Amino acid sequence: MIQLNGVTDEPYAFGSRQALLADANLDIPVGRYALLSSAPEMHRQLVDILCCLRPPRQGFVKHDSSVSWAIGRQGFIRGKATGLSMIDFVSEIYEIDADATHELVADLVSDPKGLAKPMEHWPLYARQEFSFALALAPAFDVYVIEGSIPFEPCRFTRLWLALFEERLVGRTLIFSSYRQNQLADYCIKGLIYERSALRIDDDLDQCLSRFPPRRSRGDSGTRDDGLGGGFDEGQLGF
Amino acid sequence: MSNEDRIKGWRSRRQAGNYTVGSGVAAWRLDPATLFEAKATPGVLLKPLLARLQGEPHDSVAARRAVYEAVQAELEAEIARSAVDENLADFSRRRLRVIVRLLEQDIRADVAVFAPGYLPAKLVAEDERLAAAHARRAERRKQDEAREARRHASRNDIALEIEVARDEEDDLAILRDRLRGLHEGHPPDMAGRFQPVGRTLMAMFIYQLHVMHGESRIALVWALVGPVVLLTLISSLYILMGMHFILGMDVQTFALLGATTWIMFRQIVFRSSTAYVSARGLLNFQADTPLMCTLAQSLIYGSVSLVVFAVLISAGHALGFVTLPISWPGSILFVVLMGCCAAAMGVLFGSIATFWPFFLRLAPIIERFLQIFAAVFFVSEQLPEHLRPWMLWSPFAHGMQLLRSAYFEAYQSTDASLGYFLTSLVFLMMVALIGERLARPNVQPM
Repeated sequence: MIQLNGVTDEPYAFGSRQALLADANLDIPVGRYALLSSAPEMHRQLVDILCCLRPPRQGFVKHDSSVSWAIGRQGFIRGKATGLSMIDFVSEIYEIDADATHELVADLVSDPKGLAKPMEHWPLYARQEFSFALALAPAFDVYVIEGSIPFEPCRFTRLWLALFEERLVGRTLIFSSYRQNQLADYCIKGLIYERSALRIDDDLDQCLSRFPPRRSRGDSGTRDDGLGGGFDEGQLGF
Repeated sequence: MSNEDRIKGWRSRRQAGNYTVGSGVAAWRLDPATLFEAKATPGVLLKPLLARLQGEPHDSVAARRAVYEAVQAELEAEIARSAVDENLADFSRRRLRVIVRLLEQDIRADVAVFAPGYLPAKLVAEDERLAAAHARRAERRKQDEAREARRHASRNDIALEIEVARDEEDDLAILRDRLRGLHEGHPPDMAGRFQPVGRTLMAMFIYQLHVMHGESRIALVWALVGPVVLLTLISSLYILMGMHFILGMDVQTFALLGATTWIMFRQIVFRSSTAYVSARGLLNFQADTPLMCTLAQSLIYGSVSLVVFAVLISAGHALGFVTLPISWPGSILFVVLMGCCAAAMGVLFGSIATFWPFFLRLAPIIERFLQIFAAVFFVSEQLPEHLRPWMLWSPFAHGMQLLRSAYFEAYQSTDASLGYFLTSLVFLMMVALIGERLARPNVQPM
């Protein structure tokens, strides 16, 4: 369960300070939520706050159970370290058996030989597979996924989905994505970000029709001048 | 069909000689066995239609339409009797309509439709188009069913059964076991508790070492070159002036201590301040904070410097240039304390840089300024009395002189104050941590 207590935050994004949240109070119980808003480019900052990756300027976010990182984001899969070093690192900080994690990830991803190469040389699909595969290893109670859940018809997708489905029963999913059909498929309720506050809405279909996955081109200029492609398009940091 | 037509037809059939009643019927009837097969060619509909058309009067449009309707009715009856899937029935109906349309066009264009081997010109292409549309519809239906199953599973919080290939089932079973093993070993009360800082710090230390190793194999060897260059510079300045001893300390060791400590200080400040601002990939873990990244970098460069010290002192001693310290613990303590000062400064600079990124360009200038006053090149006792306060404001000067006091037997600094040094260190740490606290909400993970 994630609790927000009086959270006020104004992160610096798209070249200026954006008012993200103003005195937000919310308890997020167990369930499957789709993160929706009329400003989808701010989802990244929201996910940072929800996962406690960045403390808000005022207030605090409390986690009652273990929460994952932002799965599906390129995030830490960059730089000169190899995949094996990263697996060791994650095993250490989450206190899980490193050998078993190595075996799990190597058996799951499509190209295990690539794990020994520096992460900066990996192709896109390898980074995504790594992020999802590694997320299965620690016993999280809340899964936060930012990006698309694997959907291409391949071995990795089938195996990962089979394992993840079992994992997700009775646990929480917070899902932020551009793919509306995936949002409708995997989530039950909507976690709506509107007017600097977060709320939970039970009618997901109505929310999906109200909040588009991408801001329409015509509206893009209203928030800020940034070409918009900044953070969310380039989640991969390119 | 009127009675005269019927009698005429019967007479013409009888004239053929080997006529038995009802023998031509098979050619007219739609064959139920082949009609709804998956790969049925259009012939299954075309041949009966042609045979029937030939047998009945077909000179006028109305007569032909009667035949077409009769065949359609027969198709419907066949569908009802075989109880086929609605989609396949729809496909057959559309196929018949296409055949009728093309056939009628050809008849009106006076093509010889009753010649053996006749096939309407565009039939094959049209039929393939129909088949493709039919396949697309079937595919979409399958996807819709999958989506329904998926949503049902999500809404009721049950696990969806994913179809896996045969050889993947074994893999799946193995992976399930492994996952269960991993999660069992996990302490259940991990919830919300912060991971132990020391463990995370060590993990990050090892990770950063891997990164450095990945950057360049000779990076660590290069760490030796900087101090050697600076100490050579300082020593030669003194030796050129004819001084071989400074207040009882020999010039080479004096220079070595000054140079190596200051280079450690400089490296820690620069590396940790940039790490604070730019190690944003790793911030995607909750356990990881910018402060921890900074401390890990400081730890790395501090350790590297201790190694460099050890190498230079032992090599220098073997070559006869360098004297050994009288107190190893004391010397190492002060080196470590100088490292702590550097780490605090690094955190402070990093915090400032999150508000003003250009500040990191000013950092080398500030460092040079501090170097002049940090007892690297000379100690305060060498200066005339009225100039000493100009140097003694800097806590780093105190630190360096205390280091030399601990190292050399002959030199006991009268100006350096341990109290001042430690107080400044604590004050610097406090300021750094306050700055870090203010800057932390601005550091966003990559």
